[in-house]
Amino acid sequence: MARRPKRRYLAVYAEPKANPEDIARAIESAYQELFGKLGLASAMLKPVRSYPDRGVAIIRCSLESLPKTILAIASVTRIGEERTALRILSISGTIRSLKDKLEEKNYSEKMGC
Amino acid sequence: MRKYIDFWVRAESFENALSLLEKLRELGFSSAVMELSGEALERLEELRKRGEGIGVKVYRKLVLKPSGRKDLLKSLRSNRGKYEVITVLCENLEVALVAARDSRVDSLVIPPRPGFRFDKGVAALLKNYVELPFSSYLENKLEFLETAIRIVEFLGRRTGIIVSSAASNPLDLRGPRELASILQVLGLSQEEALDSVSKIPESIIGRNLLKLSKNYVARGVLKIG
Repeated sequence: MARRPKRRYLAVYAEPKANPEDIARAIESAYQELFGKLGLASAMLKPVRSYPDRGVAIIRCSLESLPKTILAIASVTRIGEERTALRILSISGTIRSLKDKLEEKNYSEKMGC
Repeated sequence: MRKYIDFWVRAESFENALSLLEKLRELGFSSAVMELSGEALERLEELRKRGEGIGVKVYRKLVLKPSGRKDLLKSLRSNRGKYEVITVLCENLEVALVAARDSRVDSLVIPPRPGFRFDKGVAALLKNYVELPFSSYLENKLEFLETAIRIVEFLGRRTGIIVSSAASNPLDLRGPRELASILQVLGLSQEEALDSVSKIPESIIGRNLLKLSKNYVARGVLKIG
């Protein structure tokens, strides 16, 4: 029986603060620019949670596409008209462990959880 | 645990340098090799102390952009003892061939779409590390990737590759994993890619600090005691 592909969850925020939906859109667009539509489709890139008050988005991707996703995140220099840098707070295999990691690192305030 | 080093950060003013150091600490770096000019260069010792307070060690970098072989050799002669790291921007093949094998050079930067071919000929001479500045990638992704693919293919087998931010603004800085991701995407393993922002720069700085110390006499000869 085919096993479900492994996934990774990334907590990402923008500097200066931006809307999590805009962050997710910017990452998708950067990924597509770098690796094309086929690459984007196989990466299983998807925003799974957003914390608009804290400006944090949680993005899901497949394990195989993790380095590509990180590069796409690093490639974002603008959201709309504003100059931006996206920062990865943490990466994990499940949303729960991601939240645990963020709490350990005292990022829980940023996450609002 | 790995110590991460940003091998190229550019600052002109003292305040700019401090803001870069603070951001580097936040991103997880423990050292920065800085190309300083103007006020930041004049207040180097103060910057080093402030950097240590923040938790980031500061090293000086000289970036040479010579027009030819003679120009490069002259600059190396007059500057080697003053800087912890020397990098050469290779704008032509003549400079690249000299910089590739001169032991006074630590790393060479091949600009995106250089006007010369670098292949097995350059690779055969290569003794120094090749540096990929992430700011060039942010400026023009396609041109940078074209060159980076060839660097990894031809030169990556002969020598180590370093990825640095080459940023002059905190918004252009990237974390160690983000910088390393470019080499992972180009085919290196995660460990090899992370070495490009940790072990390789660390070994260069360690070697050069030894050369700059009072106890260093010549290659392989050290005063003890």
